[in-house]
Amino acid sequence: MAEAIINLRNVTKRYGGCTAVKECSLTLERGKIYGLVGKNGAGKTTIMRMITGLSLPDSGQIELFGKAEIGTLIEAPSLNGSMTAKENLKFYRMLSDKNGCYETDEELLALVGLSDIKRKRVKDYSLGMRQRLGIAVALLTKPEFVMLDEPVNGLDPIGVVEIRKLVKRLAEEEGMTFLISSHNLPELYQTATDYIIIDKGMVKKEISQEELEKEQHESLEEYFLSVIGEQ
Amino acid sequence: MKRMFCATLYRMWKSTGARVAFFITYIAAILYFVLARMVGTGRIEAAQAGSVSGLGDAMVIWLCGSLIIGILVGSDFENKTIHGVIGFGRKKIIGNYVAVFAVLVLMLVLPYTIGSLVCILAGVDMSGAEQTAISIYMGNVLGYTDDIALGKLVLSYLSYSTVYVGQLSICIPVAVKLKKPVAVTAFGFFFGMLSALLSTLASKVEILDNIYRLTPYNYNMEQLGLNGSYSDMLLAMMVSIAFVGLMGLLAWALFRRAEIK
Repeated sequence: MAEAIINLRNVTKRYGGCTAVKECSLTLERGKIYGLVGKNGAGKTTIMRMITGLSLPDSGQIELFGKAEIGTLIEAPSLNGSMTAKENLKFYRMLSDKNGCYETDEELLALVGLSDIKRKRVKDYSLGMRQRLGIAVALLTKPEFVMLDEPVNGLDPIGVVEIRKLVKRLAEEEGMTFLISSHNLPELYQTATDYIIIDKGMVKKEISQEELEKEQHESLEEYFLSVIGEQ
Repeated sequence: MKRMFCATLYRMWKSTGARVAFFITYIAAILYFVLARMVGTGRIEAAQAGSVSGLGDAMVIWLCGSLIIGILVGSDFENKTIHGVIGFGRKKIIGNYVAVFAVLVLMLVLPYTIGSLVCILAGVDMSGAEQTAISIYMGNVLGYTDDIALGKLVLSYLSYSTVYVGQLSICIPVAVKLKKPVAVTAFGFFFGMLSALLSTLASKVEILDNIYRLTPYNYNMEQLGLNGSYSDMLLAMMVSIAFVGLMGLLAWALFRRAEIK
C-alpha cells in the first residue's frame, strides 16, 4: 500500500434533519487520482468542503499527514473579478510560503492554457477561462493534495484533454494526489486511477481502475448505476 | 498571519469599491476644510454650513468606513477567496480582518488629520467656521493656541483616530454575519447616526449610561479635543482598543462553526 496522505474516519455531517455524509471512512494514497462519483446531493462536495475546513464535521476525524499542502477548486473558482490573472496569482503567492511555488506566472498559466490573457480582468473571462485560472490557483503551490470539483466544467474539448494530461502528468511525475468530483464519467474514466462511489452520504464502493476493467460492465456509468442499485 | 495580512491589504488595494471609498474620503476632507474656510470668511452663506458639515469626518468616515469593512469581509465570501485562507484557521482569519480593518480606518481618517494639521501649521484662520464644526479635527484648528503642547495635539489626533476604529468595529461581526458589502454599509451608516442619539438617551438612565461609558461611543469633542485631559484621551484609546477586541471575539463566535459557502 502506498503512503497515505489523508484519512477520513467515520466522518458525519448533518444539515438540520438531513444527513449529508454518514460515517464516511476513506484513506487516500499519494500519487493516485481518485474519481469521486455520485448523484446530485450524494455528499461529494460536502466531503471536499470538510477536508478543506469550509464545513466542519459533526463527528469523526479528518487527518492530513505530513502537513500536506492542499490545492482546491470547489464549486467555483476562487478568483477576484476586478483583478487580472497575474494579480490573482500574486494574491495567492502572497498567501503561500514561497518555497514550492511555480517559479513564474507564465509557467503556471501556460500549464493551463492561459498564456495570452494576462492583462484581462477576470470578470471579463468566459466560464472556461475562469475554470482554467481556478485550476492554476489550485496548483500554484505545487500542493501534495489537490481537490477539483467539476474541473472540466465549461472547458472546450481541447481544454478537457489538456487538463486530463496535466493531472495525469502531475500525479506521475510530482506524486500529487488528486480527488476529482465529476459528472462527466467518460472523461473521469480516462483520468482516474481509483474510484469512490458515494450514494446518500455513504461510501458504497471503492475500486481501482484495474479492478473496474475486470468487472463485467460496459462503462463506468453502468458500473456506478449497478453499485447504487439503479440498474 | 503576516502573509495573510499583506495579501489582504493587496486585495483591498486592488478593489474598485475600496478605492472609491478612499477617493471620496480624501476629496471630502479637502473640500471640507476649503469650504469651511469659505463659510468662515462669509463667501458661503451660513445657511449652507449644514451642507459643508456633511463633508466632515463624522458623516464621511461612518459611510466610507462601513463600506470598507463590508468590502473587506464581504468580497472574501462573494469571490470565494476565503477558500484560499481557510488553511490559516478561523481564529487567524478574524484576527486578520480586525488588523486590516484597523489599518484601513486609520488611513481613512488620515486626510482629516493632515488637513487639520496643515491649517494649524499654516496658521489658517478658520474663525467663523464653527457652524461646520462637528469634528475634532476642525475643533483642534479652532481651539489651537501657541501654548498647546505638541504632545497634546498628537495625542488628541491619536485618540480620536483610535475612537473611530473602536466605533466602526461594531461593523466587523455584522460583516461576518451578513457577508454583503451593501448591507454592512447600510447598517454602519445608520448606526453611526444612531450612536449620537443613543448617547443622549443613555445619559438619562443611570444603568445605560454606565454601560455606554464602557464603549467608544461615549466620547466627544470636549474630552478628546485640545480642551480635554490627557487621561480622558488615554482612557478613550484603551476603551476603544478593548471594544475592538470584544467585537473581534464576537465575530469569531459567529464564524467559528459557520458554514462557508
